[in-house]
Amino acid sequence: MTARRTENAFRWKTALRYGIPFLLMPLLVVLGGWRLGERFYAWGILGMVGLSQVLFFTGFEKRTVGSRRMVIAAVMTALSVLGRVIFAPIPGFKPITAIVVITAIWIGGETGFLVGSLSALISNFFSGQGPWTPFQMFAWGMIGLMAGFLSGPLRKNRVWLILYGAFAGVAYSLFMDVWTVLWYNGGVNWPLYRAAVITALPYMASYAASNVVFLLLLGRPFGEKLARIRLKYGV
Amino acid sequence: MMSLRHRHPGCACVVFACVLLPVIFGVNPVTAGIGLVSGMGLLFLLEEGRGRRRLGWYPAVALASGVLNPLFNHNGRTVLFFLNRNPVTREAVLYGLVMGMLIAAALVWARCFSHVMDTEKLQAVTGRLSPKVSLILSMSLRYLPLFRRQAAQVREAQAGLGLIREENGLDRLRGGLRVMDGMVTWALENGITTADSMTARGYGSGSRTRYRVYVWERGDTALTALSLGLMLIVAAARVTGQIGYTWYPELRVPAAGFGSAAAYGAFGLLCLTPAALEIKDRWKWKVLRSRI
Repeated sequence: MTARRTENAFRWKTALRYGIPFLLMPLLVVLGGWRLGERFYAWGILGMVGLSQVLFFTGFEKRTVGSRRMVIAAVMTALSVLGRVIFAPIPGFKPITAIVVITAIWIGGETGFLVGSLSALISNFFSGQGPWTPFQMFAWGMIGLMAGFLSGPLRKNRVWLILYGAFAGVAYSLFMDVWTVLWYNGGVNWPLYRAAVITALPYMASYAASNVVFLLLLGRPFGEKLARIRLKYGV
Repeated sequence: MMSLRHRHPGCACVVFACVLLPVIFGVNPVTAGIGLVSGMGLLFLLEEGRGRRRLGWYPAVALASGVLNPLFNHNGRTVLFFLNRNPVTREAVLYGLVMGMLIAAALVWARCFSHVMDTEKLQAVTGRLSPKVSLILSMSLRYLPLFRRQAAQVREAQAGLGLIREENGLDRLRGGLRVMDGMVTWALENGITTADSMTARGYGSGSRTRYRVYVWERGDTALTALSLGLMLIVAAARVTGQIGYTWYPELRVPAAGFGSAAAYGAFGLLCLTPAALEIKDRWKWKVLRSRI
């Protein structure tokens, strides 16, 4: 009974791993473009975000990830969610992006993606789940994944770290505005996007500023601790 | 049949997907309206006190959308009036209202979804897809109260040593960083200990088995099949173009017929099922309790 269940689960995942990139994604593009025409952009992007999310999480299963790295990912996720609570006395300050970036550059981009995605998912249990959750998961995950690719310069040079923090804040805000327009309009509408971006400017500024501040504040102490953990335990 | 909250999480996910798909695919005033009203009904049952009073917010979203859309969208043939030399069209107003209903309906059902699916049920679903991610999710959720307690302890200890002042913002920030510093070192070391303990007990040495809290029952199969069947009726009507509205350049309403009546009826039934099951469940509970 147990063996059959595991085997079934395995087959399921293999089907998803190959089915999504080679079947579902092309199908979405072709069928969507054909049936929905102009309105395809919204559902196309929504669908792609969802599918890439599933693909990443099933792909994560295949790699042999040590239990130490898994627990570190869980610890960093919990810390980024809790960062809000600790810094709650100062309003409008979120350390989530900073912790995701730091995790990504010291432990790896994939762990960064995971920490970003799960932080979005878990913190939304407190601040409200909705159709935007997959988008936030994707945005924070990608911020982590890209930071992993750039880990060389980001580790060595603080200027790059500051620039990346500001970039991540701006990109996050612009990406979530895309979500607002697509969700609302069901298609691309430039005046609406411009209006959304302009209304979100204060948020964009506060995201970028808090990312930079938290990267400056936490970058070194967190980096030292993670580097030490790597050296001592070989995570 | 039991209410959605007591069904298998997989079944609940299918029901929500079956309701949401027809609502968000296709800007149709009838499905959006049915979705919004029935979703608000279900949410009224699931929420208490303050949440119930916040229900009025959802129709407000729909109205706001009706006002906002014509400001950005100037398509449509029937011009009502000009605003800043831009035409405000009847089509854009109606499209905005329907789009608003659609968004409000999706928000209401998303809220219902988070009432029905708590973190434990979500985990049961993700556990099937990826046990590792599900385990990380579970550990993070467990760490939240643990770290909070630890942070309070670290803060107390540091305050007891006279290392924390809270006179101004900068002091508070420094205090927060001090607490976080101690906390993080402890958390990482503690995490490594946990990981080593997991490895020592054989984690990852073989395929993983799970204890299943939720058992798939015959009722789950019935409810899933019912929802999928009703959803397929709507989808069939949609694919054959019987419930497709054209908004621009001129509003064209599809002719009412057997197909559209069947689709709307099926969708109404689908949307009302969760609320009906919930009411039935509560009524049963009341009846049984009064006889004890």
